[in-house]
Amino acid sequence: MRIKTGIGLKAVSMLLLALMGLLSPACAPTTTSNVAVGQITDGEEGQGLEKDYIIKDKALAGRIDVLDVKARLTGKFLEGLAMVHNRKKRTVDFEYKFAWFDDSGFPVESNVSHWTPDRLYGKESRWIRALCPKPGATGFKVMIRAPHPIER
Amino acid sequence: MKPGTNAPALVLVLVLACCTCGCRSKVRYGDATAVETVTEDFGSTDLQMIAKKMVDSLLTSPAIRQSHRPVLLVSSIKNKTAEHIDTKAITDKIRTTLIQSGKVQFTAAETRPEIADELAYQRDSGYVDQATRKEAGRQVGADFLLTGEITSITKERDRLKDVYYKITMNLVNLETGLIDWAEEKEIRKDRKRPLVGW
Repeated sequence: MRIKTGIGLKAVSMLLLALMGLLSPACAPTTTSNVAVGQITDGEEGQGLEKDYIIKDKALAGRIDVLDVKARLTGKFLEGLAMVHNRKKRTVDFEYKFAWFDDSGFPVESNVSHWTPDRLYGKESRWIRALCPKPGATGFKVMIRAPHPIER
Repeated sequence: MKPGTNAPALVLVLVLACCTCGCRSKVRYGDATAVETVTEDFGSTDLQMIAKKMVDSLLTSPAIRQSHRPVLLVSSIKNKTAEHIDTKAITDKIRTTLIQSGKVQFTAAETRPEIADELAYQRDSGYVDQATRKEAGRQVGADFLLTGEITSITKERDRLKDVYYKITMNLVNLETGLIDWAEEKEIRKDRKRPLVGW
C-alpha cells in the first residue's frame, strides 16, 4: 500500500513538473526580438538608408520579418517606418518601440516613445510608423518583441 | 528531555518562517513604457497610444506646419465613457510633447487666476521694484483651441468582455471658427475570464 502511495505521489509530482515546464515558456519574460535601424544618408529626402537587423528572440524572429525600413523628414521631424510581415498563417501578437538618435549617435529622448501592442494576421504585411516629436533626430531604431505586458 | 521533543515546535517555526517569506510583498520599479494589461479598463498604455497618435498627426498637419509657432489653448477632453478617466493626463502629455517639439506654444489657461493675482501684487503691494514689474495686457492671444472627447462601447457576454474606446480631437481656429485639424484613435481590448478563477 505504501509503495502504491509512493508511486502515486511521484507520478503527481512528475505531472506537476511537466505542467510547469509547459507553462513556463508562456510566462517567461522575452527579450527584444528584432531590431531594425534606419539612418538618413541621402540628404534631407532620406531615400537611402543603412539597415541593420539584430535578431535576439528566435521564436518571434521566425514568425515576423522586417522587410523594409524607411525614414523621411517631415518638416524638422524624422518619421520612421518599418514594414513588418507575418510569415505564418496564424495571427501573431507583438510589441514595438521606436528609439531615436542624432548625428552623433546620441539618443533623442521622447516622452511618447513606448512599447505599442500590435497584431499581424496570417501572412499580413503592414507598415508600423512613428514620428520623433523633437527636431535633431537623424536616425532611428525600431525594436520588436513578443508581448511582455504588465498583468495580474 | 529526549532529543526530538522540540520537533513539533521546530516544524511550526519552519512553517511560520516559510509562510512569512512567501507572503512578504515585493516592491520593484518597472518600465513606465511597458504595455499594461492588468485590467481591461483605461490604462497607461491607452493614454500613451492616444498621445502618440495625436502628437504625430498634429505635428505633420498643414495647420501646424504652415504656421510659425502658433499659440494653442487646451480645452478639457470630454469623458463620455462610463468609467472615470483622468483626461487631463492625456492633454498634459500631448501638451508637454508639443512644447518640447518647439513647433507650438501654449497659453497657461488654468493658471490665469494666479497670473492675475501676481500682476495685482506686483502693481499694488508696494513690495515690488516697479522697474521690474510686469505690465498687464501683454498676454498673447491663442490662435487655436485644442479640444476633444472620448467615448466607449462596452459589451459583455458570458466570460467575454469587449471594450472599445474612441478618442477624437479637433483643432479649432479661433479667428475663423473652422476646424483646421481633426484626428481620432480607436482602441479595442477584450478580456476572457478563465473557466476557474477570476
